[in-house]
Amino acid sequence: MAGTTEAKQQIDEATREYKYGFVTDIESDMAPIGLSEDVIRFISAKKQEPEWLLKWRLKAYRQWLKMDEPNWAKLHYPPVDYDETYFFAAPKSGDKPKSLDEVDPELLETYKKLGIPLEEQKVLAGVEGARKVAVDAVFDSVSVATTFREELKKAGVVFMSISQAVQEYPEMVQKYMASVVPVRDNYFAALNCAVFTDGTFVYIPKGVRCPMELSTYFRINAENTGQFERTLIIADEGSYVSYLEGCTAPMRDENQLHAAVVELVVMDNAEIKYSTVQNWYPGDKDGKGGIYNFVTKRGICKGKNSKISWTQVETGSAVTWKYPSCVLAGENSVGEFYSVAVTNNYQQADTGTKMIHMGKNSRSTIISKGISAGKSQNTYRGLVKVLPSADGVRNFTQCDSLLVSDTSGAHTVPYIEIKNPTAQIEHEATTSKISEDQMFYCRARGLEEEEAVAMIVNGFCKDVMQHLPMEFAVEAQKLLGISLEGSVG
Amino acid sequence: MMPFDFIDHYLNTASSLSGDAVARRDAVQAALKDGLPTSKHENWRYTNLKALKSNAFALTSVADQNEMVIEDGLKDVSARLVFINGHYSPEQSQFFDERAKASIRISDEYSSALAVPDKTDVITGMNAGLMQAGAVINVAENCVIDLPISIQHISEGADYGAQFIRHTITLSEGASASVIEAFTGNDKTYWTNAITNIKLCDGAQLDHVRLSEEGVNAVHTSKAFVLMDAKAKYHALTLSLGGETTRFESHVRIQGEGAVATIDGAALASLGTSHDALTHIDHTVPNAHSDQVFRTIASKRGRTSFQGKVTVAQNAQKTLADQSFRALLLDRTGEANAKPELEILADDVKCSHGATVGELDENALFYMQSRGIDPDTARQILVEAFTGDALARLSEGALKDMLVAKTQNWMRTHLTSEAI
Repeated sequence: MAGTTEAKQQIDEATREYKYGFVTDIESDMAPIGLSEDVIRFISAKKQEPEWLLKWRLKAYRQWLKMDEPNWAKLHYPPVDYDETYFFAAPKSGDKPKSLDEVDPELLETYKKLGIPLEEQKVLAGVEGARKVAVDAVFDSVSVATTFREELKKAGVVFMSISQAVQEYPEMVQKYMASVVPVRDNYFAALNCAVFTDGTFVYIPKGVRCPMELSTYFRINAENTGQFERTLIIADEGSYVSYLEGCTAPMRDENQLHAAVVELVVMDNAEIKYSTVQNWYPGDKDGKGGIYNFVTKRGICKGKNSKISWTQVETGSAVTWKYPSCVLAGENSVGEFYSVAVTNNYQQADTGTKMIHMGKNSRSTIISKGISAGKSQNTYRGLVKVLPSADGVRNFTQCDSLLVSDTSGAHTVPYIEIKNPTAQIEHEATTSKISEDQMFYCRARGLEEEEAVAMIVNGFCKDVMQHLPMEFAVEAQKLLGISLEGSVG
Repeated sequence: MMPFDFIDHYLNTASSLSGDAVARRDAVQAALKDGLPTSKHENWRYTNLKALKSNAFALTSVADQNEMVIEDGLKDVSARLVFINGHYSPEQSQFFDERAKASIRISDEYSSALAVPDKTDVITGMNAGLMQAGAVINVAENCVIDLPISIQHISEGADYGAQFIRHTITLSEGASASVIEAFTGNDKTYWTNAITNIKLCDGAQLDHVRLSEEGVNAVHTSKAFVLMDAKAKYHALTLSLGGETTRFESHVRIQGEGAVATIDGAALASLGTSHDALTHIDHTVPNAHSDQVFRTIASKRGRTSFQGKVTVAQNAQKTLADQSFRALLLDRTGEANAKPELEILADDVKCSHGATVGELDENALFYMQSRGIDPDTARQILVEAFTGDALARLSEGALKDMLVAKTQNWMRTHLTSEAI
C-alpha cells in the first residue's frame, strides 16, 4: 500500500540521515584502555574524589565482576569487550573555566552545530512567556560549563555536576546515591557505580518551584569511550522541577557503550518531570556501528502525594535497553510513563517501565507508542506490581505498536502482578499498520498522502508528545520527521 | 541443581516401562540435566514446582476398581475412556458409538513426537520418557462424531504417586469431534503429567475441553500441542477447579490459511491453590484468526496466573489475533498475575490484548441487594457472569451444562460469606 511506503520514507528521513554526525578534535585525557582496579583508582584520582567514594567504586567493581550481563531482553548484539573500552576521557583543560569565555571555542562550536542553547537565554520564537533553560553541558564525561547558576542559586536550587556535588554536598550524595538503584541492582548499574565519570546533581529545596527547566545535553565524543553518566535529582517537600535530557552523538563505526544511571527521589507533595529525547547515532543502514544504550532509570515517590512523570522519545541508538521506573511508596503518589520509540534499519529497542505500587491509593499511567520500520525490532516490556499493603491502587496501561515495514517486528511483553484485591488494573495493547480507512478518509478530505500519513502517525504519538515540554516537543517532532503536532487538530 | 538420586530415581522408573527403555532413559536424562524449572525460568515465573522437587514421585499400580464408580456427569457420550493411576482400564471404559470405537485405540508405546516442538521443557521431556498410556484417536476423513469422547483420569494411589499420560488426536480432512479430558483424584499428594498431541487436517473441527478437579494436594501439569492445517477449527477450553497447583498449557501452531483457533479458559482458585494457564499461538501463515478469552478468580489465598503469547511470522499477513484476560480478586490474600505477550513480525495484521485485574463492582452488589438478593447470591451471580465469558463459546449442550454446574458448585462452596 502506498501509504505505508510514504510513512516508511518519513521515518527513514527521521532516522537515516544522521545530521549530527561529526567528530570534534579535542585531545582527550584518557585512562588506560580496559577496566581494572587501577583504572578506577585513576578515574577517582583524576577527579580528586574523597576516599569513601573510591572505596565505594571498588566495592561496586568487585560486585560487577561477579555478575552476568542480562540476556532476557529481545536484543542481539555482539558482546561488549570491556577490555577494549576506554572508561575515562576528559576534555583537556586545566582548571575549570570561570565563564563561557574560558570554554574551549571548539567545544562551543560543537554545541552551536548541535543547536544547544548554551549562550544566554534561548527563547522560542513566538512562544509566549518563553522559559529560560539552564544547561549543564556534559562533554565527554566532564561538565565544562554551567549557566544560570546565579539565578538558580537565588531560588536555592542546587544544579551542578555530580563530581562537584561530591565535593560540596558529600552528605547528600552519600545519603541518596544508590538509594534508588542499588549497586547490585543490575549488571550495567554496577558497572556505572564503578566507573561513572560525571553527571548531574539537582536538589530542589522545600517548597521551591524551580524557576526554569533544567537541561543537560549529553554527548559522546572520543573514540571508544564508554559514557557512564550518573544523575541524581532530589525534590524536597512541596517542590517541583522539570528536567530535560537530550542527546546527540557523532557518527562512528565502532559500537559505543553507554550505561547511565538516573535516580530520582521525591518527597511529600513534590514532583519531578523528567523528559528525554534520545537520538544517539543508531548505526548505518546496514546496522554497522551505533550506540549501545543500557540505562537504568528509576525514581522513588517517597512522600505523600508525590509524583514522577517520565516522558521519553527514543529514536536513536543501535541497541536500547531502558526501563524508567517508579517505586510508588508514598500514599497517593503518582507515577507516569509516556514513551515514543521509533526504530529503523537494524535498530533494536527493548524499553518500557516498572510501576511498583507500595503506597495506598497510588496511581500510575503508562502510555507507550512503538513505531517499527526497516528491519528493526521494537519491544515494550513493562511491569505493574501491586503489593498487599497498597490499597486502592489504580493503573492504566496502553501500549500500541505501528508497523511500517513487513520486515520489522513489534513486541509487547507486559507483566501484571497483583496482590491486593482493591487494585484496579487495566492493560490494553494493539498492533497494526496504518489503516486503509484512515488513509482513505484523509485523502478524501484533500490531504496529500504524505500529509495524511504525517497526520496519522502524529495522532498515533500525540498522547505522548503532548507531555513533552515545548522546547523538546519541537526537537522531538523534527526527529520523528513529522512536523504537524500542535497545528493539526 | 537437582540431587543425583532425583535423576536416578526417574531413570530407574523409565527402565521399568514398556517400549524402548534406552530411548526412555535418554529422554529422562536429557529432560532433567538442568533440573526442574524455577521461577527464574521465564515460562515458569508464576508456577511453583516445590512439591516435585522435594519428593520422589513414583508410578503406582492399578487401583482396586471393584468399588469404583466412574461418574463424569455426562449422560450421552460416544465413548468413555478411563485411566486410573495412569493405566488404561478396559473394565471401566465403554464405547457407545461405532465410529468412535473405530477411531480409538490405546497405546503404551514410547513416543517423543510432538505436534509442535517444545524441546527445552523439562516437564515435556519427562512425559516422553515416563509415559504410561494414552488414547490414540484417529478420526477418518469427513467422519463426524457428534457426541463427546470423554476421557476420565483418576488418581487413587498413595502419597507421591505420579501418572504420565500421552494422548494423540488426529482429525483427517473434514472430520469433526469433541473431546473432554477430566482429571480427578484423592487427597494424597500426587502428580499428573499429561500431554495431548493434536493434528487437525484441512477443514477438521475439534472441541477440546480439559477439566481439572484434581485433589487438594495434587500437582497437575498438562499440555496440548496443536497443529492446524487450512480452515481447521480448534476450540479449547481449560477449566481449573482443583489441585494445589494446576497448570494448563496450550501450544498452537497454525500452518494453514483460514484456520481459526479459539483458546478459552477459566480458573477458580482459593485456599492455597495456584492455577496457571500458558498459551502460545504461533501464526505461521497469512489469513488465520485466533482469539483467547481467559477469566480467573482468586479468593482466599488463591493465586491465578496467565501467560499468553501470540507470535506472528513475517509472512503471516492479515492475521487477526485477539486476547482478553480478566482477573477478579475477592480477598486480600488473593493474587493475580498476567503476562500477555505479542511478538509480531508482519505488518498487515490486527493484534490486540487486554488485561484487567480488579475486585467485584460494589455498585453492582449494592444494586442487587437493593433488589432483595442476599449478598452471597449476588456475589455468585456476578462471579458466574464474569467466568461465563470464558465458557460462552462452547456450543450449547450437556457438556456445557455440566461445566457450568461445576463452576456454580465451586462458587457455592468457596464464595459464601463464611468461606471468604
